[in-house]
Amino acid sequence: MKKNILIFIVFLLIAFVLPFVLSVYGIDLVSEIFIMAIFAMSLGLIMGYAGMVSLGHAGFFGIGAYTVALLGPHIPNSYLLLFFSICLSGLLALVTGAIFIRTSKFYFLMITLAFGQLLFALAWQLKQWTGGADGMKVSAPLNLGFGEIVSPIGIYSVMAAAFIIVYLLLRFFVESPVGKIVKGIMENEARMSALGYDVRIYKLLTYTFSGALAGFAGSLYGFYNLFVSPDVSSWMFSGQVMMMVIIGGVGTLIGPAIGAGLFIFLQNFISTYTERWPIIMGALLVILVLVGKGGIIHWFALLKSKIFYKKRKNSDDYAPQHVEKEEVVN
Amino acid sequence: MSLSIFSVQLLTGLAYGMLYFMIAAGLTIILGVMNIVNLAHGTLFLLGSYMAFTFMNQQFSFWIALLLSVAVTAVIGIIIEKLFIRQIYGKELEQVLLTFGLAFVIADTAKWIWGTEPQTMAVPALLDSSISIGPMVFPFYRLFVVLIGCLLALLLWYFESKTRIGAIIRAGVDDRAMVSALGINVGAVFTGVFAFGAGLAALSGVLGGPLIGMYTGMESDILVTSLIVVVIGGLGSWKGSFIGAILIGLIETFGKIWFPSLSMLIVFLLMVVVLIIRPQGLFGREVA
Amino acid sequence: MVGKGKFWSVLFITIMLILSGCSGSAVSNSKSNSSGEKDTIKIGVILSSTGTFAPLAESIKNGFNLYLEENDNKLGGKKVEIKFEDDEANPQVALRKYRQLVKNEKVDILVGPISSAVAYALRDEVEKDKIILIDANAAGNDLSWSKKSDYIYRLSFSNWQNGSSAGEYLAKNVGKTAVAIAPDYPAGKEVVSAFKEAFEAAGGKVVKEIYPKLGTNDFATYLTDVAQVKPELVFTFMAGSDGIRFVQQYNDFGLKGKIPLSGPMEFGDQLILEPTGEAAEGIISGILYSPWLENDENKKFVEAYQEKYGKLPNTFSVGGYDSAKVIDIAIKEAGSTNAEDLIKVLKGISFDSPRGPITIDPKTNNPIQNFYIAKNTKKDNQIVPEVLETVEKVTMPEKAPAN
Repeated sequence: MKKNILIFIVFLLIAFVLPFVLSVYGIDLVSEIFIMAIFAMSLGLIMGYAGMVSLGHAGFFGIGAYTVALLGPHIPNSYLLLFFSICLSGLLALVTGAIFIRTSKFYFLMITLAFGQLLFALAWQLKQWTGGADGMKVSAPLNLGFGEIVSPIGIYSVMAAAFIIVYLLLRFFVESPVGKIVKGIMENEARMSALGYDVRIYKLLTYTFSGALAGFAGSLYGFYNLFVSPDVSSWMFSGQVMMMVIIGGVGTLIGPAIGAGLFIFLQNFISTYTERWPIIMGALLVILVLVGKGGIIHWFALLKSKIFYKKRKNSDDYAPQHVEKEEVVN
Repeated sequence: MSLSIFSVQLLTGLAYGMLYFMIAAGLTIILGVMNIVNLAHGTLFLLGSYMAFTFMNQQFSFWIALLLSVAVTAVIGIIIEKLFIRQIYGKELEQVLLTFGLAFVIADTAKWIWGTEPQTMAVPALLDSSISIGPMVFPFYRLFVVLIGCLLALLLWYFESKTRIGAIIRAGVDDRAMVSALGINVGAVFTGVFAFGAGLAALSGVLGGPLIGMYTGMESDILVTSLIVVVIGGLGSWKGSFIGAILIGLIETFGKIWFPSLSMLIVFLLMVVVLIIRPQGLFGREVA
Repeated sequence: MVGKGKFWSVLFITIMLILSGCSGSAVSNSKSNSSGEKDTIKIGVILSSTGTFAPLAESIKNGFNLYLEENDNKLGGKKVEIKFEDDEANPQVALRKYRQLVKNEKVDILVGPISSAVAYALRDEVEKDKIILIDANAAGNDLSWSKKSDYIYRLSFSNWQNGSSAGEYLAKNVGKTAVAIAPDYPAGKEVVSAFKEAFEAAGGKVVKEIYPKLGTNDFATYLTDVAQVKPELVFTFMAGSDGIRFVQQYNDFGLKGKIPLSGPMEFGDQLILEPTGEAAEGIISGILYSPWLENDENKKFVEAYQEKYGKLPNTFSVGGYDSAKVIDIAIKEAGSTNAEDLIKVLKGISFDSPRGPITIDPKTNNPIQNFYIAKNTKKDNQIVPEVLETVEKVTMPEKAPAN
């Protein structure tokens, strides 16, 4: 526990220092990374944790983004906008989750894909409101009570703060009794069911939570980018965020966030140097799957253990707690 | 709508349906036997198409080009299976990712080799005629595609129910461990199935050439459609794919007339409806 | 607990971020525009090199690079450092690439994009950052109307021009009733509405408008519809592989030769002519460029392009070429690379392009150019758009028509 707090503090320090070290562009980029990290962590929650692989998660992201875009001109209150985004996407997750969770892995993948595409098509089709394929401007100033936040550092602070809040929320959820039950469901659904837990309710809860978080990320994106188009809901985007989760490490809380950072970094810089960036991305993905065994996080743990000659098991944040020696009572 | 117009639409829907059937059949068999979600299947379709295009540019006839492309793609399928797919059996997440990554690599390599400009493929001279349906003129080639689709379905049916290999594959879908325990080389079966699926994708690609041409991004379009067909038809069931593909082909065609503004959504809506009413697809097995 | 593993990875990612942030200049300052004193100029080009627009991206890039090569890699007397970025035809990605080019790489001038959706997304940023954008392709009308900006100048054509140029000729020489077909997205609607206005002003009537979804494979449904309606001509706007398929199927379903097919520039452009071959014979289109145009600029251009790339240039190659040329001329005339100075010169700038003479209309920031009514004719085993009539100085209205 102490280690975690230490790491957390180190992270806070780094996050605090970064804006002073980076260029304006760098600050902008990291702000976007924070948003994507939230999105990735929300997907990581249902993927690594409740075992549900969704190819339509960008749908919720899109809901959040468009809520801000559409309601922005009418509701100048940023808190309200964020609140509505979260509620709307959470509600949608609840409703669709109730239907989708019945289906098993592959079908779940497909039906979530369909869901994402439906939202994409809606955004495209409803031109009078959403601007259709051309997208629309977001004219909602970000105002959290200390005046309009326009500067890169201001936006950065908001996104960093949002990221930290979400991370803590997720941590709390994961370590809570509810969280442990959900983890148990992923490991062995039949057993949990036999133990009397209503598996569906817990899965639904997690899915709703995840959808709400994705919507939150989407709304932040609206404020950050000041422009949204239907592509925020496309299955391509869902696929990309899934890549972020895998790259970072399924089954860990922070993994997807790191994956998001890495992915955006790569997508940005590789494409500048070569037009063949899809080959590089694809090859990286293939290598990662074959060799990675669990993303960057586990890779590093392995690397570290090789360097220090210690035998370590692959550990998850979501793994049941190690029984400390002192706790063993005879 | 007059009868002749209806017939034209019907035949068109069937022709496209058959194309979808060919590629989806491969996808669903691979899924059913090996439990692999091959997201690179669209790129195999693309390869078949482009390779035939190149062969034909080298003065091979359409038919030779067809055979060659299917053969080469099947070989590529064997390579992919042995090199990559082998290592991730049973790991669903990894499969999705690996094949996704492969799709990127193959698609961009194709772009590297063949360039970005959209291409066309000529209808083989033998089939380059049209038949009249009332006042309408209908290209004979499309009828040919429908024919081939039916032939394939017949072939698959025969293969599955009357041959030993077919029985093995059916058994493999049902109970892999048992098949292995019976001393059958499951590995070889898997490689064969994957190659077969790849060949089917290429077949669909080549036959589709004169209809839809070759363009950048075609692999994603066809992949999404074939995934939907597989879902609607049921995993592992080529019969389901047959019905599902025809359904999709027809709905796409008639949907354009009856619900033009919904054309983007119609096929997805259908899939959602099927999944809600019958989550395992039309012909799929009940899944735990 | 994976404490240490996490620590390392967080450290790693932070280092990467710092490196990425610093890979441009670490001096943070929002505006970066050239002082006009440097002798190098940095140009950022945003195109969609992946996805269905890829062929256009390649042509534009080729045209642009050809001009650079012809001019010793200099524009306006200054050495050029060029950076190409792929926006994947996705406005979100485009914005990210934009920030990279403008804030990180500190480019002086931007060129692009292909997609109008991307152009609209970039418009406000370009205004805010006060950086000139030379639009090498995006044809959305609003760039000249509601989204017009002093910083954006189009070197291609607008959907309006594309749709309207052939209207009068067709009404007077081909037929008075037309079915108009275009994909169901903003550009499609814009082209058809421009055609309708020109066609009906000249005495024609658009009896039916059909909008298949973008990316349609199969037009059988719509073609049977046309066969039933029996108009005197069909006007179709379809681009890329959709266009190719349409032309082929028009032939396959027996309409070719029965009902004249016409369209905007796409049906007379190499990108569609080459793959469709004979199926495209007889189509009348309002083109703005063809490699067979008889003017001196074009003769030189086609020769040079063929030598360098081994193929004929198309309309998009000219868009790229002229984008480079206009930057060259503007800098020379303004005597500086400063945005405000360039703006003064770009408005009303005039020069000879391989397509003919063009002038940038200061009221719309859109080129005033010739359009050529051309019929696809077979010549020496090739389908060539043969010019029947030249429509000179085609413009577009200053404001969106009220309707």
